Amino acid sequence: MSRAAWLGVLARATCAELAACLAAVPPLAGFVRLRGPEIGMSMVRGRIGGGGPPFNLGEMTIARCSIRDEAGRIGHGYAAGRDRDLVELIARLDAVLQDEALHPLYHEAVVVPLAAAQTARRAAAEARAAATEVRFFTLSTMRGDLP
Amino acid sequence: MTRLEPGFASPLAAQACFRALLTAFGAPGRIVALPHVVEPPAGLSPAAAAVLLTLADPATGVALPAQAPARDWLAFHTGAPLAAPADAAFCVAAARPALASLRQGSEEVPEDGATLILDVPALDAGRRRRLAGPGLAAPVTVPLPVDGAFVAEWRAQMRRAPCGIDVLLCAGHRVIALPRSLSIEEA
Repeated sequence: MSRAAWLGVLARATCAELAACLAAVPPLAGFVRLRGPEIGMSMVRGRIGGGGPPFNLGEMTIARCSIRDEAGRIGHGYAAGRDRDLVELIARLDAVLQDEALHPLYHEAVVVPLAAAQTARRAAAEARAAATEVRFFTLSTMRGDLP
Repeated sequence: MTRLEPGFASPLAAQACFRALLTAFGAPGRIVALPHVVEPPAGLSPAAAAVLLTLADPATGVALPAQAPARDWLAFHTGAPLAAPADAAFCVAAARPALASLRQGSEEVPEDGATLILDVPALDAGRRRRLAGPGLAAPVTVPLPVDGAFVAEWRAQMRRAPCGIDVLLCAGHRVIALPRSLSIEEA
């Protein structure tokens, strides 16, 4: 799993979920804060239909934090919202996940269960939405069948 | 991976340092202590590092003495791009470059003139020099840690007013500001 992928999984988790996953593994190394945790705004840009010219959709609140742990590894945490504890925890996990020796332990304990839970939540939401799906091509086929 | 040092813990620290720098430039020749300093990257004094964290941003090119260790630190905390000394808005040096070799600004935009951030061993050492100009009610004579050629170059720069460069002498966590409007003469 790439660094971007595990940062994405961690950013979608809540602080309580991360703490629950971390209860089963050795505590994270000590660290110093390089920047933050701090709260700011980020401009979200969009394209209509995925292909139009980009426009500014609006600003969203994000929190971020960068840390250096005892081994000198640098971790970054970014997440939507205002949760300073969450982004600090993400940054510490990001630092330890970059360590080849420690990666499997924390990946199995934290990233894998969180990714599975997020996939399940997304599948459940998609299943609810799928029940109300309207298939427009069915209508056009019927019209084409008329004499 | 180079070792990154932390920046200011809070934006309030940068604001307090900015206020201290205003005081320094408002009272030329006075030693002003910066209220917040950080552990500097290798090659910079704590004061020079705090000045860069306070003043540098993505729109200001910075020239560093040895490009290596401080470069990542500066990019991470300020987003400031590196520049050649002749183009930089802030030139950080421990060995003084010729004043005329830095960006001088122009008659229309004299504020384009560079700021030289000079690391010196101590602020209260050096020959005594007579300072006069805006910010000083009466001329003062203070020890200034600059060499004799600096005074001659400064005199040449004053003839090009309002173009020229401003100087910040840094040692430890203290600074002395020499705005370009200041007259410096041997005492």
